[in-house]
Amino acid sequence: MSTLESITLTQFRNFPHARFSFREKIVGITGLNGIGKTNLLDAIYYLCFTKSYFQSRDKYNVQHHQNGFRISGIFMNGQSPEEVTCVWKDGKKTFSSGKVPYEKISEHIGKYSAVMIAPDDSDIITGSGEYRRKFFDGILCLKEAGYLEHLLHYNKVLQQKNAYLKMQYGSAPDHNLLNIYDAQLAAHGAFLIEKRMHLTSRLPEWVSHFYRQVSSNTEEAPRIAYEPNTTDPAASYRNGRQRETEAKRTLWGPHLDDWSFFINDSHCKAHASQGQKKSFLISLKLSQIELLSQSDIQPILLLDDIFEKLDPVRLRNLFNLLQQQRFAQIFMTHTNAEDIMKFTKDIFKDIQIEAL
Amino acid sequence: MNFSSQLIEEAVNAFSKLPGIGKKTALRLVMHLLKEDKEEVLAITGAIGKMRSEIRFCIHCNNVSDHDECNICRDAFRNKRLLCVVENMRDVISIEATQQFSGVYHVLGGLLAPLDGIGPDQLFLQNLRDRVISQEAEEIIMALNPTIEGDTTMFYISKMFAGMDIKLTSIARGVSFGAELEYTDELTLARSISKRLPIDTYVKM
Ligand SMILES: Nc1ncnc2c1ncn2[C@@H]1O[C@H](COP(=O)(O)OP(=O)(O)OP(=O)(O)O)[C@@H](O)[C@H]1O
Ligand SMILES: [Mg+2]
Ligand SMILES: [Zn+2]
Repeated sequence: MSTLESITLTQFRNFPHARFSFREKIVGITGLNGIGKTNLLDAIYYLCFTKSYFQSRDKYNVQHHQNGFRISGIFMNGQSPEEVTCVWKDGKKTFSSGKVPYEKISEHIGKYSAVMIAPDDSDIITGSGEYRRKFFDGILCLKEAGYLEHLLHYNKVLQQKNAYLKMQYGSAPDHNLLNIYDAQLAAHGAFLIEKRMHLTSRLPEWVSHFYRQVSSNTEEAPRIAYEPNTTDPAASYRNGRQRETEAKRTLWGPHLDDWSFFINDSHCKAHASQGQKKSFLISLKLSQIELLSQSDIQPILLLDDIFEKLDPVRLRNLFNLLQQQRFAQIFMTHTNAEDIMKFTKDIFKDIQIEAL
Repeated sequence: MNFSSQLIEEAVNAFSKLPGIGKKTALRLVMHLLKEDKEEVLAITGAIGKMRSEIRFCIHCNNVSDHDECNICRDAFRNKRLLCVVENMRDVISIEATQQFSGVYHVLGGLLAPLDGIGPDQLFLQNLRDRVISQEAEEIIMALNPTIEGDTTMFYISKMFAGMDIKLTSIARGVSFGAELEYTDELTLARSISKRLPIDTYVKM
């Protein structure tokens, strides 16, 4: 089991220079709005995955008016420490273990694992279908051999086909060419649809399991429905050619799939309360961890603003649930240290408060 | 860059339009040409201008040529019943270097990629059917890159000949995914031309 013992940030976001030591399994990070709690959590995520959870462009991680940042941390693997350092300077990133730089940064990924649950993740519940496709594809790419390749192929062919539909052709489109694109889309698409169906048949069991525990409410039954845009892409393309050429884009296929989340029979997106949505989201994330967990790596859990929107009963249930899960360490942010202690001290043995 | 001469500036700008050449390299080339004899430089620019204004594309195969017909199509010893479809003249050069191919070529001038503005009308395809019929072709070998665009083009051409009595094959595409023909060494290419496979091996439709 690997835990993070300390972290040092230099010119990372709002931290000019700061060092934090973590002695306990449960760490509460507290302080006022804008003080840097989320930034600190993200730095931990960064050390595990070599990138930020929130920022796709590294230059935004650099403190304003500087030209680089450094994150360094010491992980304890049982008794043996490993120092991991990331330096980003003028557009160039190096990752090292000990003092030795990795030849390829990707070699580091997989050593340590972390899972973030942040307020923006609620887009999975309330946002457009794109967020849900990203969530399910993310699981499938890791879990199903070949899924990523099929997905990349599908997307490339889709782009070519859409470009052709927008192109200036004579009086009629070249049906031979469209047939070829459609055949490729149908073949890759059928694979994607099958795997998505399979995952959707397995996930609800876990989601219910976690949701029940968080809500302690047997009346509330969560449900997930996969809504494929078509289950027979080949037939949809065959019958819909005219409409696609008029619309000048591809109207059928798994790139338009969506999922609906329900509590009992009402649609979460439209009807669930804030706290119910948050409970659903947490259950989805914990299910994701369950599905992807490899027995040998225990993830570090990063809970950003976890107290927001959950009532005292659900918070308690959640911490009881987390206590039973196998996490190497749990970091949580909140503005108020007393709240953290109040809810966690009789559930977890050792809690450290790091006040920023 | 600030030049004291308009003439130099224009020459630098002209060079930097070429692929892979930035302003710095362009300046280096211009300074080099300045040191050369005038005749020498005029010979270079002359060759470039003549190449561009006098080059033709073979009316049969679309390969570059000095005449209406290219040297390969005019060669009486080449087997006109064996056609090799390629993307561009660079592929012709690579395959010729293997000395394993005795047929003639058909140079498409690209691959089907609407994203890059290339649809069927932009490729040299109009005369392919007529050529196959008039030359009584027995086999068409597709030597196209194993990419999505290459696959699409290969499927497209094989559809053009659906129902006709002609053998459609593809070079053995052990050429790793994403590797372009031009980067494949001659030996691998020679092997893949002599070991070609029927198209149905690839076309899963
Ligand atoms: N590149 C950067 N350079 C300097 N400061 C930055 C940079 N990026 C973000 N910040 C600052 O960091 C602060 C936000 O920190 P963070 O999001 O971690 O706050 P927080 O403690 O999580 O607040 P809240 O309680 O509101 O969630 C903001 O004041 C922001 O301006
Ligand atoms: Mg925050
Ligand atoms: Zn010719």
